[in-house]
Formats: sequence, C-alpha cells, structure tokens
Amino acid sequence: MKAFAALLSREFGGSQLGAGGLGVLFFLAVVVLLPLGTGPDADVLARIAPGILWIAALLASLLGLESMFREDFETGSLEVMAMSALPLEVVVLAKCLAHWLACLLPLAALSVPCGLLLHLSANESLNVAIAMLLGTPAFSLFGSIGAALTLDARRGGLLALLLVLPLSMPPLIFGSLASGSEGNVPSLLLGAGLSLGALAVAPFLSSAILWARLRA
Amino acid sequence: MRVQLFSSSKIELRKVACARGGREVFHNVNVRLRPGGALVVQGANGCGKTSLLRMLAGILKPAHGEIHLGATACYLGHENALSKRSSAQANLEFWAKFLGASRESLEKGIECFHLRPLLPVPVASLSLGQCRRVALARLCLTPVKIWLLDEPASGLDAQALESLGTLMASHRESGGMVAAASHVPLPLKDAATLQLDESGYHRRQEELEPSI
Repeated sequence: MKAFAALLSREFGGSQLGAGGLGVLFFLAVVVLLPLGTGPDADVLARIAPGILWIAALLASLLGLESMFREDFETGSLEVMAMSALPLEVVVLAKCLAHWLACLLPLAALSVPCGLLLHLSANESLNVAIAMLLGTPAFSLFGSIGAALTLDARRGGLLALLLVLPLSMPPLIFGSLASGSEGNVPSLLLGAGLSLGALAVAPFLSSAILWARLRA
Repeated sequence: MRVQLFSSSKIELRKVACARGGREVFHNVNVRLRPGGALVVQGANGCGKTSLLRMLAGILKPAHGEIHLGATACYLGHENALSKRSSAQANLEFWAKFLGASRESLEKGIECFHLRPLLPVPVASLSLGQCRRVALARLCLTPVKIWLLDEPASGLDAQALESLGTLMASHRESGGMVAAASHVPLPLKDAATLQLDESGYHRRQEELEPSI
C-alpha cells in the first residue's frame, strides 16, 4: 500500500500534472472555439455541447498517455518495478489512477462551467459532470493498453489513440447519452459499468504487454 | 536453523542456454553459488552477460535448462532507473518508499556512496559516474539476498569503487550473494569466474563454496 501511494504521488506530481495542465488548456480552447465554428445559436450549441465536451475530454486525455510508461521504460525504472514486490498490474493501476486524477478529473469539474457557457442548463451541466466522473476512468484504463503497446514508438500518443479508439467508443457513446437533457440513468450506469469492466481487464492486458516488451 | 535457512537460498543454473533473436548465444552454462558467494561473468560484447543476469532476475526465460533462485533478487541493469527530471534525493526517496525501505537504510546508502552533496542536484545534471553512485545506493534499500549487477563499476571513480567493494563484502558476510557482469576488475574477493566466449560456449564451470 505504501509502495502504491509512493508511485501514485510520483506519477501525479511528475509527468501527469504537466500533461493535465495542458489538457485543461486544450479543453478550454475547444469550448472557446466551438461557438466560433458553429455560430452563437443557443439551441445548436446546447444540443451538441455534451458530445463535444466528451470528445474534447477523450482527446485531452491523450496528452498524458504518452508519458505513462515511456520514461520509466527508458530509464529502466519499469524493470525495477516489475521485479519489486508490487505486481506490475498494480503498478499499471497506480499509473492509470494518477492519469485520471491529473488529466480527466479536472475536466469533469470544468465541464460544469463550460456547459453553462455553451448554453446548457445548470442541471444538464451537472449531468455532464456526473457522467464524466463515472465514465472517464475507462479512458485512462483502456488508454494504458495503447500506451503500453506504443512504448517506444515515435508520436506514440497519437498511435495509442488510434489503437484504443474502438475501445473508447462505448464509453463515449454512453457518456454523451447520459449527458443529455433529461439525465439518462441507464446510460449513466452503462458508462460506469464500462469503467468497471475496464478496471477488471485493462491492468492485466497492459501488464502482459509490458512484460512482453521487457522480455524482448 | 540459520544454516538451514541459508542452505535453501542459493543460485543454481543447470545446463542453461540462451537464445536471442533466434540465435543461440550460449549454452550449457552450469553455476552453483552458495550464500556468501560471488560470481563474475566475463566475456566479449554480445556474448550474453546481460542476458544471463536478466535470466537470473526472472525477466528472460532460458531457452533450455533450469534456473533455481532460493531468494528474491535485486537487479541493477545498464540503466540507472533514475528520473532525469527530479533530484537525486527525490529519486532515492521514491525508491525507498516504493521498496519499503527504512529511513536508516536510505541514510546508509547515501553515506556509503558519499551522496550527501549530490542530493539536491537534478539527475539530468549529474555525471555518468555520479548517476551510477545514486543507482548503487538503491542496493542498500532492499533486504534481498541476491544482487545481480550489470556493469556496476561503469563510470565509477576509485573511491566509489572502493565503497562498492566494502558494500559487497558486508553483503556477502551477512549471507548475501553477488553475481556481476563486468569488463573491469571488481573488488570481489574469492569470486568465481564464468567466462562466456564469442563462439557461444563457456569455458569454465565454477562452483563456489560458502565463504561463511
């Protein structure tokens, strides 16, 4: 547990916080640019806002993926971690949690004021935030698979996105459905369920990929 | 009881072969190392020294043969496992917490390799040898009995090499084992030598009796 906490705080304070800051700026830029692109029509903005916020969050989450394993792999730290008492699956989990806390949690919080700016009602904005809170952990977890696969590829972040895009679609679909005007509870639960499913699968897959890479 | 406990923790390799990229690197390597023992792996570049250590560490699987490790191992590879962006202190403190080491063992590592003046310096600004010293201090952070060191002396100055020798000697006195690959002579007394040569055979089989 101490090892998990040590890793979490290193990951959070190290690379992920910077990526998270950049992600926040990216998210805000999308919100600012959207009305310029579509025109200031309140009805149009309110209709597409939840989907756009979700897509922006998905793309912003990429910024942290690239640094999830790369530096630790290059410096040999990953090897030391793999051989430590902490299973590599738990190491992956700590890195995913740090990624989510730094890159996606702030966006879930920001989606309330951003939703209001895009003419969503207070209630709808809150729905977006809740759906993101429950649904975006799947982005971090599935993203770790892509990050592990593109460990030493150039522009690995973008390649990671393309690889995990099919996996990110269900959370995106149910997430933006749950962010609709009435607050769609079944979609919200499905989004949360996808996060739980990712939690059950992704750490094992990612650590198997990392082991294969260490053994190569 | 003590003897029994120790006799179960040993390193044993039987007819171990290694293949990398479909090519056999070495075969028929037999090694037995008892508590307190030390092994130096020598050979030309590409003869499988690192692969042998990585096999012992459990990262690589042998193509043939058996490897028995009676205890968990601490592997120090080519890379120093240090984050370039943080200071030497932050790196060491992270590894101490991650590996569950006490404050005293961290202090011991810092003292042993005279790292006190280097602590606030970012790792990116340290020299090769200084980085290696910080990495070597990690050995003090784990209570494991088996140390696997890949070129531990690369970049070290005479004083640091002496510190490493003292550390390895006290580790062996307390029943620990050291297996190291090195091109330069290491300060390891009565160490067995495993010579891996280019043709893929190894020349000598060594067996080391316990030195305690």
